[in-house]
Amino acid sequence: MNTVGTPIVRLSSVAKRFGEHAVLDGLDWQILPGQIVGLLGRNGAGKSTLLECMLGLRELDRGSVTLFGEDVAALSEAARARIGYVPQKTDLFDWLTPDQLLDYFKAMYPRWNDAKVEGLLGRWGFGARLRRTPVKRLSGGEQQRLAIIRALAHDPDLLVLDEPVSALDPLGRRDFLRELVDGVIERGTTVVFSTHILSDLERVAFDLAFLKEGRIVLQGQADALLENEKVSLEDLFIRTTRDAASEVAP
Amino acid sequence: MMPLAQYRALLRVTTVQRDGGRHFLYGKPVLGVFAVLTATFSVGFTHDWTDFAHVARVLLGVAASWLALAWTMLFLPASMTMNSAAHARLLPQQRRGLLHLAAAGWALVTCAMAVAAGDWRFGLVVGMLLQAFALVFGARPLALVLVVAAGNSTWLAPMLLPPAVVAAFAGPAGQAGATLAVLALGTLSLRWLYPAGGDAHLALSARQATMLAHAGAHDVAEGPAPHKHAGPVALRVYGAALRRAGRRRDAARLLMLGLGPVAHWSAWIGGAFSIVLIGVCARLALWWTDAEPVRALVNGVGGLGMASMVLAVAFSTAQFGQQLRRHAGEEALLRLTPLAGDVKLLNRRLAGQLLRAGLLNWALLTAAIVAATYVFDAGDEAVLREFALCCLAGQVALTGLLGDYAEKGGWSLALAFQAAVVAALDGAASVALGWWNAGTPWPWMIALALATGALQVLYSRRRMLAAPVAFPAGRMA
Amino acid sequence: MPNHPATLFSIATGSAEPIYRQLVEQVRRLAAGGQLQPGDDMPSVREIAQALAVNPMTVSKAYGLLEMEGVLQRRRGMGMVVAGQGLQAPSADRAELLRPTLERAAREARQLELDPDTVLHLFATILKEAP
Repeated sequence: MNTVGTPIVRLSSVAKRFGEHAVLDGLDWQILPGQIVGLLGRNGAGKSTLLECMLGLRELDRGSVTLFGEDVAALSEAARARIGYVPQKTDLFDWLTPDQLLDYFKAMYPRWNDAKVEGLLGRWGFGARLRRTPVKRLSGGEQQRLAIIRALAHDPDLLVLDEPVSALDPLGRRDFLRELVDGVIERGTTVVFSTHILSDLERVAFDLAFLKEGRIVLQGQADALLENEKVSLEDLFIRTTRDAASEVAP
Repeated sequence: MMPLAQYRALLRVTTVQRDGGRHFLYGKPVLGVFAVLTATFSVGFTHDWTDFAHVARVLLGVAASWLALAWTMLFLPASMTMNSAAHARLLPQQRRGLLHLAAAGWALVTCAMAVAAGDWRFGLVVGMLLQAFALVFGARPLALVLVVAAGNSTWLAPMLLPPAVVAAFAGPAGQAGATLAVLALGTLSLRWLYPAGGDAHLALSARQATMLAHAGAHDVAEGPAPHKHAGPVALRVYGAALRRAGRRRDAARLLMLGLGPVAHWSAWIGGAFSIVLIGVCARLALWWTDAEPVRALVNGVGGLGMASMVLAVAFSTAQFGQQLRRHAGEEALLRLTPLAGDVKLLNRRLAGQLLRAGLLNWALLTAAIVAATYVFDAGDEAVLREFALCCLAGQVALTGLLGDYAEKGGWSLALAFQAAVVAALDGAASVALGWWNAGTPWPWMIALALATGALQVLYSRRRMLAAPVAFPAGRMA
Repeated sequence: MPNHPATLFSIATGSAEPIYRQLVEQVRRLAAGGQLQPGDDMPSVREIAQALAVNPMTVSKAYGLLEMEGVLQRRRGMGMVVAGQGLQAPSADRAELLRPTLERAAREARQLELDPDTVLHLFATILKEAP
């Protein structure tokens, strides 16, 4: 059980390199229960790698990661049941229909909120016909919406989202944010998500973390960071993640 | 006509610069093979070293073969992809240049082959074969009809055309005219490979990409490599298996079914059915008529058919690795599920399931092949022979089944080579043992294949269990 | 007691002003201007969060600040209501609320190198126009 204050996610001195390139370098990060954290960084900075290492999907070169107090390399069944994840690349099993896909994953989880799934499918445009269409014939946006529904279906305590709305139009994104506000944040879920759509982050993220050169270089409450610097989130992003070498006259 | 420099640039992009300039056709092994072939044929057919014309023709033949390979495997795929719908409209001179190069290459190969063999008909046959390849990979199968008709014109023409016309083409001038006509037809038909833009072009490009990816031209085929799709019957069987596994919450089965219907045994139902059908049809054909040519044809087709089916058995495990590497994101999610995500058990479960699937596929195909041979009534020895060959092929198939899937795992070129060598050794040993015991090699082949196969499975399974967690596959590559 | 819908509020992303501050300013303006009468029920945190698709904690923060300032009052079991002051705030205090907007306008006027009389004349014309 988590007492308030013990981090739900703890990364200590995490290092990961691909060949010669050190993507994560001595990274420390903690996420407390109930936090809604936006992870920001430039393209190729390693946000996806960081999230994958955080969930134990990649082996670390150095350092340790604990989720719910357990070492991430050997999560217990109970811990795995509390995690929801939307990976960046939605390579869903494209021979299955949405109904089949959800049934498949339903068998994997002890708890599955059928009512929530039905509600989301209905509200997000999955009519009876679409639910019986193989995923390979769905559009990118529909596939992404399906991946999000699947991640929310088992009422996770920790929700990790890697560019979850990249293929959605503004209405789709607004629906997603509403669902986050209503169904996820209200329940006290911890949410970590990386996205380039800063307006979405501004609305929903209470905390921000900036990944640069393999470390979290800036983190804190979004409001405080914006008020201290007296800039918009976009300018804060550019200012924090800009390379020293690529300084251009503002 | 474009300036020569543009032709040279197009040629370079489509051939030399493929695969980062290291395509295997330019590599030492292939050139070495050709050198050896040249030397062998030259020495073999010419005891008199002053017969330069003959040697020159052999050299020309080898060069023309290499050119034909380069034309089919390097130039064609790249040129078809370069001629996308957008490029065709915006860069018409590129399309023309590619057309000219394609036609010139084809004509060159055809003529070279004709000269090398000393017979223009041989050149035409090669030319028609190249056309067939090109049109199939260019997703223009209907145009094949014309090509086949042209290729068979010698015996088709007297049946279809009035005798006067046939007589006009009979003399040498007529023959030359016919040859030229066929040549012209060949160059013209290549135009079908390079359309000039529009909706039809976009549809064709999609089909061409599929065909090229199937042909292995992954580096030029646009888009991700499409995968084979299972037929409707197979999908239904797969769906039932999926529901059953879901109801029973069988973690191992669910993991394996996540590889898709292509990796399920039901995908081979159609193939197995066809094999048995071929046997039945051959039997019926023999009942119908006992004529000698029909028997010869049926025997020939039967032999060739069964041999290629045995080859299919050897390749039956190739798609497991492919499917595993295709869905890394979903495999990551499976790692995080309570039921199937236990890292200590995942490799064990996957290994067991892969083995089960591989053996099931083998059993299904072998049963079909043996049944077809039996129905075809080629004799007990033939049945035993086919079974032995299936065992040998099964041993090959099992080699690349298990491995370190977190890395590259499964089949690789090196592993395929090793499997082929081991199979050849087994085959040779069984032949030797059979000869030594004054019997057929087949029982020995069966025993050796089973023994070698079991050893390989034990060894690769141990390696797989000691390797890191297989899901998400290919992450350490 | 009129019940105000959550759609009364709007926020703009991409500005240098955090969302909670935008909400606070909006409520202050509406209360001072009289659209929010004392005793009116405010929409719940959850309703506003849903309507604007913002984190409920942000709305809570805004409400908390407004409660501290005395603009809103928490009624047990009834959520937030507009604090009763009975009277409209004096015009001097209300005018102070307009200061940020006027400062922005003044900055722009200076950038355009306009003299104060022209600007004031323009402002007077606008004020006389229909609302």
